[in-house]
Amino acid sequence: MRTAKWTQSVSVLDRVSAILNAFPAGGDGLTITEIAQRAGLPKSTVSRLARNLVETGYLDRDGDVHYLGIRLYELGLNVEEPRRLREAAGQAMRRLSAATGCCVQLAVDDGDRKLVIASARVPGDDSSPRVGDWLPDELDDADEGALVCATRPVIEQGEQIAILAVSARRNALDPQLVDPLLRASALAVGRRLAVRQPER
Amino acid sequence: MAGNDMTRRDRAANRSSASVPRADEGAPAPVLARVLAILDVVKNARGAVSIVDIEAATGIPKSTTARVVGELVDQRYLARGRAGVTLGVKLYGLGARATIPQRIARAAEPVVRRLAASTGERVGVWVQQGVDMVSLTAFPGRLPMLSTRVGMRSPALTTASGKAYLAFCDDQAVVDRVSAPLDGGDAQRFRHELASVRRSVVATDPGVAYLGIVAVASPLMGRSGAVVGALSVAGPASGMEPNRMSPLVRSASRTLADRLATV
Repeated sequence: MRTAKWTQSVSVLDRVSAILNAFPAGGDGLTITEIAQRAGLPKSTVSRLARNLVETGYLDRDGDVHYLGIRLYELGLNVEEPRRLREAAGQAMRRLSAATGCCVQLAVDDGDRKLVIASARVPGDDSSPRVGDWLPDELDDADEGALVCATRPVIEQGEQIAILAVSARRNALDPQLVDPLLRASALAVGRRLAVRQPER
Repeated sequence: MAGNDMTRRDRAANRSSASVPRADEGAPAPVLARVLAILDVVKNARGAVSIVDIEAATGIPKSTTARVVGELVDQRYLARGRAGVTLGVKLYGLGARATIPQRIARAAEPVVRRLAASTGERVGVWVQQGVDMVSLTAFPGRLPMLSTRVGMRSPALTTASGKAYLAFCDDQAVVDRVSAPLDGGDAQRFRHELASVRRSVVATDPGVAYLGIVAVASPLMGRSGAVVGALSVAGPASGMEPNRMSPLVRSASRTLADRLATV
C-alpha cells in the first residue's frame, strides 16, 4: 500500500543519490551551489542533506568544499563482487597492458554507464580512465586524438559479467594488434573466474 | 497509529549505528537514518544478509526494510543474491571517488609499513569524524588484538591521534564539540595539553583510551597546510617508550605530508 511515508523514503534516497552522483571521478570537491546545480536540486535541500551526510561521514567537508567521504571509502572496500573480479583479472590485465603498451580497464555495469573497477596503467599516462571513472562513451566524431576503448565482454556462466577494455588515443590504437590480444585476455579472465567458483 | 510509527522510527534511529543524527525537524533525518542503518548492517555482515536479519539488527519493521532494500537494490547500492543482499557496485564506485581518503591511503601505505617495521608496533592513519577519529589505513604490530580495520572508530578526546589532530585543528567548533563532556578543571587541563602538543608536534595517550595501550601520534598536514588527520603508533604499555617513539612518529608524519603534497 502506498503511503506518504513510502513516497518520502523513495525521494530522499533519490535526492541523496543525486548529490553523491554529482561528484566527478576527477576528485575535485564541490560547493553546495555546484552540487545543487549538478544534482538538479534546490540549494536548501542540498544544504540540509549535505549536513547530515557530513555528520555521518558520507561526505567530507573542507571549508566550503565537499568531497565523497570516508564512510563511502570504507563501504567501497567491502564490496565483494568487484574484489572477486579484480583478483581474477589482475594478471591477464597486466599482461595485456604490457603486450599492447596501452592502459587496460575492467568495467562493470553501472546503470547506462560502465564503471571501471580495475585498471592496469602505463607509466606516464594521466588520461586513461581510473578506478571509479566510467568508460568513455562511443564517439562519433573523427577526432584523431580522442580517447577510445577497444572492448570485449568477459563471460561467466554464459552471462556477460564485465567488460575488458584497452584504451588509447584513436590514432594510436591498432585494432589488428589489439583485437586478438584483447579477445584472448577476456577468455582468460572468464576461465579464471570459472575455476574460482563464486559462492552465489 | 501515528504515535506507534513515531516510536518505531525513534527505536530505529536509536538502534542504528554510531553517528546517525537524531530527527529534529522531522522528515528527512529518520528516513535517511534508516537507509544508512541498513547499509551498515549489510557492511558488517560476513556474506549475504536477509531481510529478516536486517530487521533484527535495525529494529526497522520488515515491510519498510523490504521496501528500502528494494530501492537500494534498484540503485545498485545493494546487490541481491540467493542468500540475501550484499553491498553493491555503486558503493564501490563512490568509494573509489572518495578523493581524500583514497589520496591519503595511497600516500600512506609505504610510510605506514616502514614505521611499523622500525617500531614493531601498530601504525595507523586516522581522520576526524564528529567526536571520533576513524581509521583510514593501518599496519599491524606485535599485539594482534589491536585492530587494523578501516573505519574503526576511536574517541578523539582521549586518543593520541585525536589530540594530535585537535591541537592543530582550525575549526574551534570541532574542538568544542569533542571537549564538551569536560568540565572546569578538566577542560582547562585539556586546553593546556593541546597547547603542549602544538609545541612538541606530538601527542601521547598513556593508556586512557584503551587500558594498557600506550599511543604516540603526530598531526598529518594536508596540501593546504591544514591538518587532515593524524599518524599514530600504539602498543602495550609495558613495551612502548614514548620518548623513543616521538621523533619517529613526527618524522614519518612529515614524510607522509610531503608525499601528500606531491600526489
